[in-house]
Amino acid sequence: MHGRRRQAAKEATVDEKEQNRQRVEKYCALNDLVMQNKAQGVYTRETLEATHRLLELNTELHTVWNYRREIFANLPEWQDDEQRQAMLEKELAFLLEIILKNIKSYWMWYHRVWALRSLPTPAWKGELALVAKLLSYDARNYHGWDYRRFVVARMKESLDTDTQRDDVDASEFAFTTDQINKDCANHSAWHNRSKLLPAIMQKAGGALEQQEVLKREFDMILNAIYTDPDDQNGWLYYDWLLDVQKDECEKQKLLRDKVAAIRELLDLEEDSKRPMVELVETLVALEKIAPHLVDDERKKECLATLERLEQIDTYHVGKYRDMSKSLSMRWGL
Amino acid sequence: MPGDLLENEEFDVVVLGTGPIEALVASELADQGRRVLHIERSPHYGGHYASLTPSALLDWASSLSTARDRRLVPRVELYCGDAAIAAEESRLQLEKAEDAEQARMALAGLLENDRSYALELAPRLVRCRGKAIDTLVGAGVGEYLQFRGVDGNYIITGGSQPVARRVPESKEDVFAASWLSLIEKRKLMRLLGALDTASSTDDDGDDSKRDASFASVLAARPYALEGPILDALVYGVARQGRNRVLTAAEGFDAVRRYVGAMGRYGRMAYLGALHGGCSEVAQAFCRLCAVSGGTYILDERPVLSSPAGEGSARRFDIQLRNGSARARSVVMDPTYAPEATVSADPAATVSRALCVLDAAPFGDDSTALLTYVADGRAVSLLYMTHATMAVPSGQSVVYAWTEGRLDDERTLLK
Repeated sequence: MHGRRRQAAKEATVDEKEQNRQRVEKYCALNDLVMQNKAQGVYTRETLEATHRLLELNTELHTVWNYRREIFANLPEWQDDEQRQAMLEKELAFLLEIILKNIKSYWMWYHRVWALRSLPTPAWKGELALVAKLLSYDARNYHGWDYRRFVVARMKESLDTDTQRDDVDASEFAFTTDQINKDCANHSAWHNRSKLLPAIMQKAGGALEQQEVLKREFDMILNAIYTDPDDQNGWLYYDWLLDVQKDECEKQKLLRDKVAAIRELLDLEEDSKRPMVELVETLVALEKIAPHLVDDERKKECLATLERLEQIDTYHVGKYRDMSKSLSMRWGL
Repeated sequence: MPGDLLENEEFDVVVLGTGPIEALVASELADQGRRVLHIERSPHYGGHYASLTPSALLDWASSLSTARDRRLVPRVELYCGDAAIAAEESRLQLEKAEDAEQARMALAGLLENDRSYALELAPRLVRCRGKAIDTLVGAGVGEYLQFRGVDGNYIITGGSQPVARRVPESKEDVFAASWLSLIEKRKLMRLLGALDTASSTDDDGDDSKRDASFASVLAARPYALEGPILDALVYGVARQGRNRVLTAAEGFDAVRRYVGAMGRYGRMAYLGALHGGCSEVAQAFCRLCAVSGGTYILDERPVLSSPAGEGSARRFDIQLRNGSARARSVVMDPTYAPEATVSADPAATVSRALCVLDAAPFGDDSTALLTYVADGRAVSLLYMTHATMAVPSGQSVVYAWTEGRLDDERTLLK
């Protein structure tokens, strides 16, 4: 998880070494058995049980997870909906137990998705609650967020009306607001927000309402930028928001607003690295779509800013020099 | 011990009064092997720092009105009334009881759950890092005490329409504080960042700046703060009081101490004790003293006579209701002194108020510190609930205190 220190391994005692040796022996025997069964294509309840024991010991054996899925599909009970439901519900409970051993395991998350896809009647609300709980432990786990998007999408499919689906979108959007308020550096939350915003915008309807939505987003961005100008999340979201603007005029205006906002921030705090870089990049972007708006003075300002950055941010001297060179060439200065 | 008579028994020290300070002294002396006799005039521990049920509070208040020297004794006034929260506007309105009947009913309601209350006469919080907490932990009284964190620090300003705002204590708080402008957020974050560096007050070694007031330094560049956020830092965090205006050095130190206390036991900077801080601390130290051999007498009004004898044979005689004792030294809470005087300095007096509410406006299971600021003067407020066992669930109590005589501060407290 983020922000937790790894515990250093301790030297084992003689007793512990013997215990470990026995454990390893048992594990190897079980592993060999399962792999043999897999090679021979044996799909029975016994082999299913064997894979269960093995995966409990080592959750990262993705070939064994594959094999387990094959066994399920080949059992006669699989064909009967009721029995399949029971089997898969047990499977989900099993996964819940072991996922905490490695919360970032691709194989276990995939297996969960497979189980939910194969379930005759999945309980989406329950899954949503589960993933919400997980995210409360580790708010930046991208497996969790990905899974959440999967669950929400499936949940929406199972709903009847558009308003119900819109409600889900709205509550998801509110969830990201919540998460960002708890930690404005939560990249996953910002990212999820960007996935939901188009739907929110569309639901807003007319141009005026859409402006309202955008204004709220900009407020949030500025909030993040002013709280911590060096944190990339606000800036990245800002970039994305500008990128998705289709209307050229609108884009121009927004770029100019961005320049003004950055200037205000730099007034307050002169040598702030990220805002300075963003200033240059915004002016460059503006010049590309509206060259008449960026005169020679502005261009010289960009180069001067880059020079200043070379002094205050020596780690990235090369990058600033590079930018200076290419801009000088492009602008003929 | 009931029934035992002290017949001119010898002690090394007699301690009068069981406030937390006297209790600490008594336990320390007993720990060092002295024979200690500890006497308290009230039937409960804590003296004027006790936690009382409403009935005990009324007893205490009425007993004071019959005390000999009214100058020494706290003046107490009681009001009964109704509290109503106007939900839409989130404002708390208090109405004084219209007649004696209403007052009686309100009081009866309170007394019905008498034992569910622990109302402090002198409420205290302990900072999570500092000498106080180290003393408690070091003395081992931690075993006898339980604490809850103070969940929020609020600043109340706004003249005729006061508003309570939560003081931001972390980056997350700053981000989420809708009452701060973007610029204020930036300035506050910069200030929090600057606190990490060794000495942020004298960047240019400017002596005049060092002696300037904290408030004026924060109001000038590079901080340039004003309004509620300035009040929040000066009064809410650095806790400037009427006694004196904090210098910049003192102010920054205070803020650093506050921020440094956060994170030790949780996000909060302060802890509130269950059942009343001073009372519990006093009882805990009395317990330690008794364990080390101290003798305790409650509900006793000792009569102290002038010392007799010279040099190492000098003894004080203490007359009790049933018996007497002698001691080499006497340590006392000032209100036990036969010829005490009241300080002429109004700032040496603290005026207090407490208000039991029928609702929990800041949350049912929380504790909060608030500071009300008006015209450069501050009233400290402590909001306590069921979380610290101060009142029954669903209710709350708000304590208020400020430096100065009751007559002067009465309006402010209201």
